[in-house]
Amino acid sequence: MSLNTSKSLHIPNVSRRSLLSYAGGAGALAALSACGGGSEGSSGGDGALTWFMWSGSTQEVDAWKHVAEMVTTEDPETTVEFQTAAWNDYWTKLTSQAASGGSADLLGMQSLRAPQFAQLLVPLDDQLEALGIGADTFESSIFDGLKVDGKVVALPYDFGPSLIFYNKTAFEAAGLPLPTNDWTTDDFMTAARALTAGDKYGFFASSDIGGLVPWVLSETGQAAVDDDGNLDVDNDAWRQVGEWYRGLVTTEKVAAPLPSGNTSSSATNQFLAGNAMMNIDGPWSLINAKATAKFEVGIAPMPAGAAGSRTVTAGSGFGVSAEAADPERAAKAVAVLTGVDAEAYLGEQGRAFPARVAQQQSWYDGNDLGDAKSVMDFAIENSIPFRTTATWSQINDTYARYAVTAFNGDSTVDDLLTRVQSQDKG
Amino acid sequence: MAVPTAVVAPGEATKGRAPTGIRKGDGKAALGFLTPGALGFLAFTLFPVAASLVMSFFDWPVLGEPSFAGLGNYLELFTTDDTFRTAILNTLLFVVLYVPINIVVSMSLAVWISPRIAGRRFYRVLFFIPAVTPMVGNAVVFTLLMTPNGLIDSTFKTLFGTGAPNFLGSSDWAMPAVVLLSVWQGFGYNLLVFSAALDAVPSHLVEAAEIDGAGSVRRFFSVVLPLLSPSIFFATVLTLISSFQVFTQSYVLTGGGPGNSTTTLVMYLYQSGFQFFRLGFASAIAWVLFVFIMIVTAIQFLGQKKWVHYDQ
Repeated sequence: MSLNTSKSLHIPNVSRRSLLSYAGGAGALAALSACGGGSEGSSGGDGALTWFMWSGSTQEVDAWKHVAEMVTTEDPETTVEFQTAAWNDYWTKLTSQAASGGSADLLGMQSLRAPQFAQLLVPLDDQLEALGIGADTFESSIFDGLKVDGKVVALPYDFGPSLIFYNKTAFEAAGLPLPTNDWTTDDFMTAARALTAGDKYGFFASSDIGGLVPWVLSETGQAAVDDDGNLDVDNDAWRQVGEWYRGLVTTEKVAAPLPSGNTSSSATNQFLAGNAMMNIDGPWSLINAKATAKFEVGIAPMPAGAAGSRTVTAGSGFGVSAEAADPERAAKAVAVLTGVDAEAYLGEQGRAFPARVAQQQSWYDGNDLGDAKSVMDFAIENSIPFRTTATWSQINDTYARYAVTAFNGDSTVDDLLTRVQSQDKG
Repeated sequence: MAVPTAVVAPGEATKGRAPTGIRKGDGKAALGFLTPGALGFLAFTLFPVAASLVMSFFDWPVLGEPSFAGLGNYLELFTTDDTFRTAILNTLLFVVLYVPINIVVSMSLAVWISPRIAGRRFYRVLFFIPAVTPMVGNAVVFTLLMTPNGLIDSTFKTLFGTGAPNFLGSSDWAMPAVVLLSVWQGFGYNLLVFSAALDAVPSHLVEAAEIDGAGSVRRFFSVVLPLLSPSIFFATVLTLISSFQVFTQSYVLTGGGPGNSTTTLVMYLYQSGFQFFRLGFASAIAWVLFVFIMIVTAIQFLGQKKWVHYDQ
């Protein structure tokens, strides 16, 4: 009898009912349109630009906002709105924004990912002259590192060579000579053995492919990607050095077993915690490492192998989105963001080791890093750009997961390199 | 007694009333109330589901133009793709380990706190805490516990002189570590379900069995457990579905590694779609997973006639 009850409760007011139905529908539509209308992304031609860039701290955000204001100072008609995401999220968000046509006008780009994301960016070659940008004012390795198929897709603001970070306090306590610019792989092994005791290890073996590249380069002169831009790791040079690297964990036991395929930050953490006495890192980590570590942090170039001390440089820059409404204005803004003033400021603040050669001194001066200069100069001189491919994400991911089993001794280096090589489908 | 309401009294019809029990105009009101929900369902459920089915037949990159691939994605999955095969096996391994352990643990603890023991409500809350804490946070804590030189490793060294296995860095231990985290996180919910069901067991039935001379073990397995079967069925279905969709645990703990040892179906779906940007391929995986879950759930519903007792 439930229907009868509801009937008796029914209020015979048609107009209210239809009002309700319309109100409900309208409300839902409003809610939907609010969801759909993304406010982020490209702006119109009124001089307002958006800039999407990763960041890791509020200080970093403040520094970028300061640089964004430099654009307005240069050209009062242009304003730059800074948008940001954490490093890992940045690349996901960048992709999804591009797919939905909502890219910002200016985009941060890392040299290792440039081949993968090049299609999101406008080549800047034709505009360099008009913008007054001389390629020779930038460090050539990173200026070239942000070229894809010979075209400049972004202008660099920072860069750095891969270096050995070492625990100076531990070296001195063990009575070891401090690494110099002409130290060798043998010196490295001697130090690593002497520094390994209990749960403290001489070196941190990494599951990042970037951790192996400089070793292969120093021992054999081979990089990960050949001159034609194809991945080339399934060869004897890589196998030989890979076996040696695996030996650091399995036979020499101077490096801890690798923890898991998903801990990219563990290298830095283990070094800073004093559990690994040497680690491969870059100048972008140096200021934080010196401030955080409870010991003295030293840097050294890669120890010389059979092919000498060789390393790779990587860095980042800014480019103009292919979806930018006003690409010309955006290119001008990029020129300011990577300009002399911005670079001097970022260097002095310790936010970036400037990609502009003349402004690099500000990094040493502003952060009391004068003693790092000889090492940095030596490493930069002996470096090549860290070349990657369009499928670098897959390659990196596969390497990270299989390096754990290969270097821990559960599977072979051969298997690792074959699997990584097979990811080069680009 | 719903029939009379559908029959229209002759007098009413002459007054111009609609010839049904539901009055004219109710449809509009219903529409008004349904529209918000229906629009949401259309936009955020039905459309994506349909779109993903369409996408699964395309080679659909995030950037650039999609091209029709026919059954190409499905063919690749079932013929050439080793990772997909591994992901299926890993997912099945996870399900086979996780579901029974979860049910047994939550049932045991529910039975343990079911008598009027002191602090019963406190235990219920305590056991439910893992279920309401975010999985990512739990996984990070477990990483710290299980990493070399982490708490477990250090404790092992102190107690036994040798270190613990490198749980997350070993192909053999990574999946058990993922299962361990999942059980710890997941048992609280089923515990509440079982706990409530245990409270609803009529005491006269248990007492009758006791008078008939049944011991406590016999009483549990022959009287209490059959009465709990609807709850067990409910818990098993939900746990099974969620375990087929396992993702966060292996994403945070191991990133699918080492090797492919913890790459589950959803993990592989995520990698294909959001790391390698093959949306069509990822959609195909999603549909395979959907069919999997549907079949398993259908089997469960068919099988329930044999062991689930809805009458008391």
